[in-house]
Amino acid sequence: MSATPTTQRLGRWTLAALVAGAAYVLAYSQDVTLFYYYPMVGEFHLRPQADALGPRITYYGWKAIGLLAGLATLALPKRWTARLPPDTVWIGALLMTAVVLWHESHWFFR
Amino acid sequence: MFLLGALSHQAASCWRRPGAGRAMTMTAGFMAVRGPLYARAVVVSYLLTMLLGDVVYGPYRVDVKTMLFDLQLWPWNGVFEIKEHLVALGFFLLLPYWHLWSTPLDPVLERPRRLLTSLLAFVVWYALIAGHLLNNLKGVGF
Repeated sequence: MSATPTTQRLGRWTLAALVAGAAYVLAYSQDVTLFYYYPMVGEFHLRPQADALGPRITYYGWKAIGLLAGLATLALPKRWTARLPPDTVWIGALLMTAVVLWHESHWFFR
Repeated sequence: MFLLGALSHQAASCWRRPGAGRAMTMTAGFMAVRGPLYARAVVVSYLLTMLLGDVVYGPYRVDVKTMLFDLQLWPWNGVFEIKEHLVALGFFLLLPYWHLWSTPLDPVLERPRRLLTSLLAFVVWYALIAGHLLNNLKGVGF
């Protein structure tokens, strides 16, 4: 199948979305985050703080990692993403969903 | 609710046979919508809903998640973890989703459009059901 301008542009968005998703999944599965948020005191920190600050949220930092990775992918030359098959988007999305379900399945077997 | 309705209609419209003619049944009527009209509204309402979810996540982390851990309600925590991750993945997929629905619709992209839209609809349905179940267990601020 020859790449039309529409599919070429889709390749660009697809790669950005999948890289963002993969970066997010990697970040949360390895518990790596950009920053921590402590909702009880309303403070952001770059490093984990003492328990006195209450429970921390890493979710925002994971999403920031995904977002930054996706944005960085948009800077790649168009010719690198132009030939990405259109089906990559849903196959990649399905795979990431499966990884999330598999990774979180341990909660149901405790 | 708007997001749920719009995405459900749009996803259903992807599975409608081409040239199916005038909708004569309720199911056919549900599927017989012009999908492209919903795309922008879906993107905006997804972002707004996610933003609201992010805002309420702070009190949730303090009130509800702590309780789930204290009472060792692990499966319920799993239900929530899956929800937050799927919503984040759905957020990253909004760009290709929007592109797939840009008009004029490219017939070459019919399958990715259908399957990605259906997957996003699944994510939103899952998020709604999981959110409701967890809210029944313990609402934020109660």
